[in-house]
Amino acid sequence: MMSLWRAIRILSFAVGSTVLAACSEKLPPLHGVVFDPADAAPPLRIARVNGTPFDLAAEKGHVVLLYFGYTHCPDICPATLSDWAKAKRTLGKRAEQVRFVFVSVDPERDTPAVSAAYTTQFDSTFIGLTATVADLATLAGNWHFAVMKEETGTANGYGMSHPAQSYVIDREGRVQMLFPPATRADDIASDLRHFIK
Amino acid sequence: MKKLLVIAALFIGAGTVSCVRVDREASPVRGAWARAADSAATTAAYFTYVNRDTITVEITSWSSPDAASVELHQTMVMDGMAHMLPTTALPVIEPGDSLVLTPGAQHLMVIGLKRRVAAGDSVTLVIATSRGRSLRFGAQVRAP
Ligand SMILES: [Cu+2]
Repeated sequence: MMSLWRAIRILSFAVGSTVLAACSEKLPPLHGVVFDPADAAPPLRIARVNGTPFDLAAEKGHVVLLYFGYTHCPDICPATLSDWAKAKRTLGKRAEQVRFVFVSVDPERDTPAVSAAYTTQFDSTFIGLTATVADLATLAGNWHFAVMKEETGTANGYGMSHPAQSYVIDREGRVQMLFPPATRADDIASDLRHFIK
Repeated sequence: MKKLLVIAALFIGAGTVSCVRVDREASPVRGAWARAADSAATTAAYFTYVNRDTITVEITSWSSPDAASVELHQTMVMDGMAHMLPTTALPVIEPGDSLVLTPGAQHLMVIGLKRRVAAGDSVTLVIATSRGRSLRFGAQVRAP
């Protein structure tokens, strides 16, 4: 597939307001960054806390909202998950068609249990996973980002660089759009309506 | 008109609590809040400091009796990747300007909480300014 990052760079200046709006007349314009064309999502298969795998490929039929972060990140990660939780409440029953998935990219500190517990603080249905070191190498190749440990001299320990945006994967398993950080919860909810029934 | 309403509201609210209100009005710190977090964990705190003075104000230190340490951080997004770095320069606020700490940007890292803080609790923050003023205020804790 085309490099996600190349696509992001190409599209980052274009507000995704027109591409999909044309196909769904009654819905309001989109706020996120739209991929056109939308390519199949790269593989993502990570063991859950109970040992069974979360396999993105098996989620066809559901919309997946996906974010890569780490639990020692007290700013942008909780801000994103908090906005997801608000968006989910706004969607009400229709949110059942959406899987909200947080993947920790900090296997050194986040065990699968830590990640799962962290994620369910925001909403009991949110799925929290932890990528293993091996997973991270695969993700870097497939999803075109490389996380890095950053020693910044803070008493909070090291930081991890991680993608700033959330990915929206549609019911057919295509990466349709990205939500840049600080996308408003109402805008997330409004955009997700384009992809759910 | 708006001003009149505010004044009217102050009169209506006058009585035993009026002094407290006046004090609160005078504080340069607005809208302080923090996210709920477990004991020993790190949370982020946010507020706006409005410099109503006629001279520049520098925030020279920050701390919390509720945590082991407090740092000023900046979240930055570069090439689609988020990074979080301690801010090395002291914040300088020109007269009439504000320092705005907000998610995804500058924030106070409240590291090593001495107790679990849940929605409805308050985290005490102390900041000192170049004017020799020490401000102690509560950040209202919100659900994570
Ligand atoms: Cu920080």
